Amino acid sequence: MSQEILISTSELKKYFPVKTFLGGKTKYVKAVDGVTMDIRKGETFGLVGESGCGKSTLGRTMIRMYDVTDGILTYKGKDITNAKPAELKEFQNKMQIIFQDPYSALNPFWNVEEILNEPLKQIGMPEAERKDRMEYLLNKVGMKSDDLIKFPYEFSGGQRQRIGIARALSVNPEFIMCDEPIAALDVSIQAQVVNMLEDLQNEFGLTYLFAAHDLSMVRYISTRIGVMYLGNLVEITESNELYDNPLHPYTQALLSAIPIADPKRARARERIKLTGELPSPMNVPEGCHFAPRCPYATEQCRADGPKLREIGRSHFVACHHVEEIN
Amino acid sequence: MKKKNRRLENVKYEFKHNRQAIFAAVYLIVIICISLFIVFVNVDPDAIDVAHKLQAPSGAHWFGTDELGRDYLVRVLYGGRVSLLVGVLAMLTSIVIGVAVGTISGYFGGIIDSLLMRLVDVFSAVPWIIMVTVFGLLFKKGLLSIIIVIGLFSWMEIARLVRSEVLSAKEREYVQYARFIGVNPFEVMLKHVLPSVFPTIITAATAAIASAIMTESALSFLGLGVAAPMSSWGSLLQSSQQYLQKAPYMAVLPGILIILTVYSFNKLGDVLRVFVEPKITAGEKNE
Amino acid sequence: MNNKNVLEVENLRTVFKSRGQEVQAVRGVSLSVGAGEIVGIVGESGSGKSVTMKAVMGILPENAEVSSDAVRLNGTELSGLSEDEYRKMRGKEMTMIFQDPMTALNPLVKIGRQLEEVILRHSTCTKTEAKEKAVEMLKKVGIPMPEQRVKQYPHEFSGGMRQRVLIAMALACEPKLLIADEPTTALDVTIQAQTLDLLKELEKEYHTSIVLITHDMGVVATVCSRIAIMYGGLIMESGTSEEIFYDPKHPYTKALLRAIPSLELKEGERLQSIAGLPPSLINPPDGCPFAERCEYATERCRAEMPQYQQFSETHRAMCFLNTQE
Repeated sequence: MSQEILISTSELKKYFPVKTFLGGKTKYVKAVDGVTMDIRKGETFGLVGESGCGKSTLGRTMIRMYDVTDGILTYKGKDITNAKPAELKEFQNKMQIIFQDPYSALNPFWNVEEILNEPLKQIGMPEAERKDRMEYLLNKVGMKSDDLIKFPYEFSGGQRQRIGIARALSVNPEFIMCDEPIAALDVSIQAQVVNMLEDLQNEFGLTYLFAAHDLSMVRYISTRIGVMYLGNLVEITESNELYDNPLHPYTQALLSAIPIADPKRARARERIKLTGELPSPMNVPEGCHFAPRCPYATEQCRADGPKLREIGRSHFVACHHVEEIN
Repeated sequence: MKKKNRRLENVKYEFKHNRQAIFAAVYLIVIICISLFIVFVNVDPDAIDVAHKLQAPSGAHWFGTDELGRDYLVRVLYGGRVSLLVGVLAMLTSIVIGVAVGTISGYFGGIIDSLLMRLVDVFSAVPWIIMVTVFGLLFKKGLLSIIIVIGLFSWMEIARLVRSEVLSAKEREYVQYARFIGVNPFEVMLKHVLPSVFPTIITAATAAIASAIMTESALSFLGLGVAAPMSSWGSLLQSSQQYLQKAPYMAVLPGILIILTVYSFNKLGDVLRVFVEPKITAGEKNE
Repeated sequence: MNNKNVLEVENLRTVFKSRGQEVQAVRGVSLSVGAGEIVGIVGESGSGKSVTMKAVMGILPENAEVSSDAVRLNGTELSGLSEDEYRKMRGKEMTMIFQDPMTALNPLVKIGRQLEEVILRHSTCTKTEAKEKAVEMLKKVGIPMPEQRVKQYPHEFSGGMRQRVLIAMALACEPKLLIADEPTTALDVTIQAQTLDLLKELEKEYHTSIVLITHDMGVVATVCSRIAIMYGGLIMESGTSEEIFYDPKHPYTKALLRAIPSLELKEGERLQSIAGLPPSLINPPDGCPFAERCEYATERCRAEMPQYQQFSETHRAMCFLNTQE
């Protein structure tokens, strides 16, 4: 694994304004609230967290699908935080996205050829070469060139996801943001897609950001994993280390809640029970965002939000009391 | 292409199993053909024959004659030309304005949206019948001004409908993707957003034809419509009221034709939606 | 089959008719649910798992044709019942909760009122008693401060809390059978774990039999005592959860278990995916529905529907493999 850093963020923030009734003070949904992390070339960085934690927004902000509210975002050392559309153009070929919902990711009025043609036309590939390129891409994702004339509704969810992957690959990207790519698929199809993503990564030297809430699948595909809670990364480490030795109280609770497909172990296991519910990202608590649900929370936690710090070898945790807890 | 086939099949199925739809289609074809070709038939709708005025239906005049002895059937059929023309053209006017305003407003949002939507509010706030009367007085009476007036005052609802559809369509991921890879906004609007608004447009369009025919009838009924001797269904209905006691049949024929036409266009809209929205039939794999 | 079974289904079939096409969604399902047990029905989308239970509940749309040899709830045959009699059965004897808790609640009516209505409809208590019962039910399903919460509207509840309200509503009339259709799919893992705990507690306390419909093998492993695996409108294999997880007989069950990344998976090991797609149910294959994707399939599998083979009193699978021929 190379140590070359592909994408780096520093205190990255993405807020969405929410209009309040009768023109009151504008509130913000703090979807990403100060994230500092690196993605290394060739790795798969897993991003886990519950719905609404901001993992999808973080990924989309990284590829500049969204504008950055605050902080710094660099791609291969070049600052693209405030890059204008014209400057972004060269990066957008390098960064692509695969969506969660294979139904809304493809235009239902277009056939596969038209769908794949869009990005190819955008990068200015001569028309004569496009057809070959499309057939090559379909072949790469395990589909036939006959499928070019078919429309999305003629495919199953798994096949649509393959088309989405072919579209992302079409422009020879370096980095693909996988936004819950398997969440909408059946178990037997999930494995097909994940295996294919791995093969493509090896063949083309791709770097992935893999956002998902299925923790066992993320562990399987990822090199490193970041755990998100309410717009913050609370823990980053290598994927096996995260599962063997979770340090943040939230990570511990999250891992203990994954249903295990093994009746004896599932019944024997002790679950860490969290009290309370995920607060709305519009009313993020002061201090550590997890404090209201954390069994170890102290005054310090409620007053002052902890930053990520290195506890073990490349194991980062954002918690004031890691040492005492573990 | 396969998609077309599937869509046509759906429409065919809809026609086969929906008698009202068959009726609507047959009726519209017949009435449109008559309107188109009646000019080639050697009858004059304006031939006055005062000796035979207000005659009840008979072998010579199937639907009787009017107050000037003109054959009523011929006049009604000629009236259909005007009514259908007004319906279709007024519909086109209001659809073009409505779709343009709605799409731009929904897609670009922000200030543009606010301004356009206030414009819609202004147009909706003015009672159209008053505006139409004013327009009627200002402009030369005639088909063109009727079409413009009706089109100009019926696009607001369409704009609102289209805008809300566009708002939801632009959040779809394939639209976001196109924007992400830098496709220019007008292309995104035309190729990605508009097609998904199509079902709404089709429905709105058929409803607009129907309502334009009704509006024209209302205008003519108030005497603001087409000028004599030209007739439309509305104007015929209007003039028939003076003779309601002597010749009630004069109100019946144009009335029935208006109702049937409006109904048929609405029904046709329902069927056309099946064509545009390739609905997932139960046979399809949903995965 | 013993007499203690709360639900007995024999050879249930369901056909959907649409635009001249027939979809055979359920093609002969037999199933029993004992008193106070949690039975899991696992399957991918389109396998017929939801349709089966909706057919039992009698809540399928009009274009569905249901036929069966028997559907008995506590010994009462359901298949000949009139719509009125069915309605009385639903709610009081059996009840169903769904994946999306928001659409099942009326957004304009306070939670308490909605609960009271259900209680009043199915019992003879007074309004005050119903009010007390509503608060009590919310407390039972673990909603904090139920006295205040009954005065709130559904939008003031989070997804997990709404699902609890629905469970409270479902249990208010102490039904014999609770059918839960993907009750935790829309919830986050931590909330899912809480909801599953709740279902387990309720089963113990009320002795309600629960049928849990899900696609998640982890969920059934956590709560179910018996499991049925569905594919292509048929039950491929059924048995106790130990039998299914530790001694699967059907190739589909085996493949399904292998497709889940287990925590033991070593570095560099690949997931075992199942190639291909589920069969279309418009013209389902004559033979085993899984044959097209099965690594052991023979000509016979494609031509002929396998019979069930019994491995233990509880364990059976529909496959030609393992037969003593």
